[in-house]
Amino acid sequence: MSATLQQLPSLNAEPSEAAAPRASRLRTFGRELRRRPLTSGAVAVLAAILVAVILNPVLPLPDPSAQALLDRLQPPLSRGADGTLHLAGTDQLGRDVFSRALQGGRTSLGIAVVTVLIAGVSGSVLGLFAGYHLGLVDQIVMRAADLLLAFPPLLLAVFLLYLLGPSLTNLVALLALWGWIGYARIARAQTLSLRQQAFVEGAVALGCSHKRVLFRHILPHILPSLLVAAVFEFAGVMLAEAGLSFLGLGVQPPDASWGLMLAQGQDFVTSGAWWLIAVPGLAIFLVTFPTNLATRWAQELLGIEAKENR
Amino acid sequence: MTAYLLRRLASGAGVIVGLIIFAFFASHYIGDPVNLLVDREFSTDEDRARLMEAGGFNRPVQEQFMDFAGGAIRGDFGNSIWQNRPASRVVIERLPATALLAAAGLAFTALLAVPAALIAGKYAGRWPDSLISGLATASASTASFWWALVLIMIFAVRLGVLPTSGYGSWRNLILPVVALTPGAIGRITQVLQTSIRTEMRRAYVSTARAKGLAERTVLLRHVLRNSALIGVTLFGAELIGLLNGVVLVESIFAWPGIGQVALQAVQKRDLPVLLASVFYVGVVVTLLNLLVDLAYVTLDPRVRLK
Repeated sequence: MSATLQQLPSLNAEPSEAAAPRASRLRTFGRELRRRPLTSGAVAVLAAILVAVILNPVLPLPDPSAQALLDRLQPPLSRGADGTLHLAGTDQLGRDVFSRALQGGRTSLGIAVVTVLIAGVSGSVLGLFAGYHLGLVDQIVMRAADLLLAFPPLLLAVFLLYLLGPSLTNLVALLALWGWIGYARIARAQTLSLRQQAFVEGAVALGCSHKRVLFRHILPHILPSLLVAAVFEFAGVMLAEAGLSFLGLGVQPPDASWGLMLAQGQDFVTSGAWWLIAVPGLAIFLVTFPTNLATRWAQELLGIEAKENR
Repeated sequence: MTAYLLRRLASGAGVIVGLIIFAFFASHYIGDPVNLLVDREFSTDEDRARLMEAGGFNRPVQEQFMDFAGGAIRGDFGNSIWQNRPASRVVIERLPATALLAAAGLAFTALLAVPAALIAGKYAGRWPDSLISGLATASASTASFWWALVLIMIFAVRLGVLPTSGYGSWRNLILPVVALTPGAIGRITQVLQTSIRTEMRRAYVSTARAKGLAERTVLLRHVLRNSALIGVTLFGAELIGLLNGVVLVESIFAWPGIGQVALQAVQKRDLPVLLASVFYVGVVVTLLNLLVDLAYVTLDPRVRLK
């Protein structure tokens, strides 16, 4: 079974797999899940977090920005003066940490989703063009990628955010500035090898336009790898956004994000308010860890070496 | 070899020139240099005009650029606004601390990642393999700054065995190094593990085993050497990763390195110091990349021809 799955990149060339009855495919999927309890469990936790973050506005939780100065720095599971239960305690202004974490999750995850979409589409298109047309386009795109990777991104991001001023748009733009490289490299490498295959030459011989060849014939073949790259990138973008917000150059108060919550909690580390660090930090980890596990799993299924994603 | 070296040096110089051009146009045109030096809210129009005049920001572009580029090449970025002494001196003083942290981080990474990957290779397909794989992924998923705060909370605040911050003794070095490295350790272990697993299926491994070599010798003398190549590339890439993490970790542990000085420059609106730190980090990284490439060529005769 793993033998057929490893050929997934060439989905079209595997009619038996595609034509298999739905029930048996589900069973195969179920067997894969059982073989990897850690990955399945982690992805379930991630799904729970996503649902909680999305449903946050309708959940019966305390107002995330309601301050209660009498209830400052209360530990988890304590009750406020007005009787509200604070699941994960309160922060230095008496705000409910659990609600804030869910609200911060909307910002953090939202930024990551938007960045991955922008970077994924632009990187894939650039990589497709570079690998298909080669020449000058290829040179410019790949040299730009090399240049960007030759410098520690965080320091350059600090520099640019200082020049531009911190804002959500600038943050996403900067994250995407590095984000596209991974997709471009994968798309380029795979396009390069596919363009010499008979089915591409056939399509060209039949008179297909370059656009049609690229997006209808080549893209479907490299889409699985690009989707895996997107999941992988998601974790990286989360960490980068959290880092920049932690430094005060990303999401700005009064908005909440997990990195910003950590920055605000940093001052209370020595006074023992561990939940201010534990809750947003675990939230970040419980998104990045399952995504990275899922990436490794998908890479194994697709037979992609981990190094290709770097 | 000489031709290769010259070509690599030339491309390194190209990167530095690119960085200078980028730094100039970014600081003069993406941001307004006067705004970068003083807050608009806390300055009068006369102040700003005076500053414009004093900094020469109203001169023609080409003149300003030649001044800037000429200065940068000689390591002159003007005086630090905050400390009123040459910005490059402010930055260069901070290089040793960052170098120490990064070198210790790299050593610590190698010390953990290489044995972990070897153990995983030895028990391929059994539980230690899966355990190490899981731990490596967890490690690669950890945010260094969060990890730093957790370490401070446990070892400095609760147990009180290590200092929360500072510089000078080896005890100050432990927490920053452990905080800096989880990403690098995780990623290097993952890739080395995959690489060793692939190498183990090669014919030379069966040959080595067939001629009666101990499994230890097969792993250390044969498999590890062939996996070392990818290791060199990885450590080179992770070095940039470590220098990246330095910005966050130094600010948390008050480590007097280049990352801390860059952040202080942002807080103090000290543009010359920020430009100098971007420039010097760029120079250091370019030199390191060059070294990694040379190490690669020396280790692998197959790439020597190119």
